[in-house]
This record gives sequence, C-alpha cells and structure tokens, in this order.
Amino acid sequence: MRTILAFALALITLLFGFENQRLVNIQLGPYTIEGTVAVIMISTFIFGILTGILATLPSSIRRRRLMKG
Amino acid sequence: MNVLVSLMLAGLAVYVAIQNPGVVQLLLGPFEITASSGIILIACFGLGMLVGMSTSIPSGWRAYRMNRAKAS
Repeated sequence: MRTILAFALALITLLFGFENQRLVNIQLGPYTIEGTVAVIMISTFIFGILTGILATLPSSIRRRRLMKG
Repeated sequence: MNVLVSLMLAGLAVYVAIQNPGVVQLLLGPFEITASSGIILIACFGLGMLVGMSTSIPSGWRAYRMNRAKAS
C-alpha cells in the first residue's frame, strides 16, 4: 500500500515538474532565488513538511516517554 | 512561546507575500492556478506543514488508545 502511494506521489511530482518549467525569481529578504516554478514549489513543500515534523517532535517524544513509563 | 513562534511565522509569511507580488501560473494536469508567487509559496509551505504534522497522528492515536485501555 505504501509503495503504491509513494509511486503515485512520485508520478504526480514528475508531472508537476514537467509542466511547470517557467523561470521565476523569489525574493527572500536580501536574497534572490531563481529557479523553475516546480523546483521552488517542491522545495517549499519539503521545507514545510520538515517544519511540521519539527513542530510535533516535542509532543511525540513526550508521548513516547509516557508510553514506555 | 508557541504564540511567539506563530506570530513570527505569520509576520514572515506577510513579508514574503509583499516581496513577491509577481503572478505565477501553476499547471497540474487539467487544473490551473494563477496567483501571486508569494501566496502560492505560503500555500505550498502550509500544505507541507499539514502533511508533516499529520505524520504524528498514528502514534498519537496509539497513545490515546493505550491510555484509554489503562484507565478502564
């Protein structure tokens, strides 16, 4: 089940990557990032996933400790 | 502390949205979204955050069931 889900997600990401190849400039404070729309969106999405995991990490650790104890 | 981090994130999101007003067109199969690049960036980041936070749902559910079993 997980393999099929991962395969579907990879296919959607590939399709997204092929369809959105227009160059775009992103300003972040003093920095300017230039890349294709797809690359910037996918990296932002991954950054969001990492932030979400980090946000729930303290409660997950606390819960795991409680379950063990 | 949580409120402070949330306020900082919201401020950063507004800053990014103001700095990137250029219109971007996103295509995914038959769907098409046209919006400012700042808004699309924030939406992507928020969607990713939701996905990342949802990874802790199974373990949370397990802990909740264990606690209920212990209590009864």
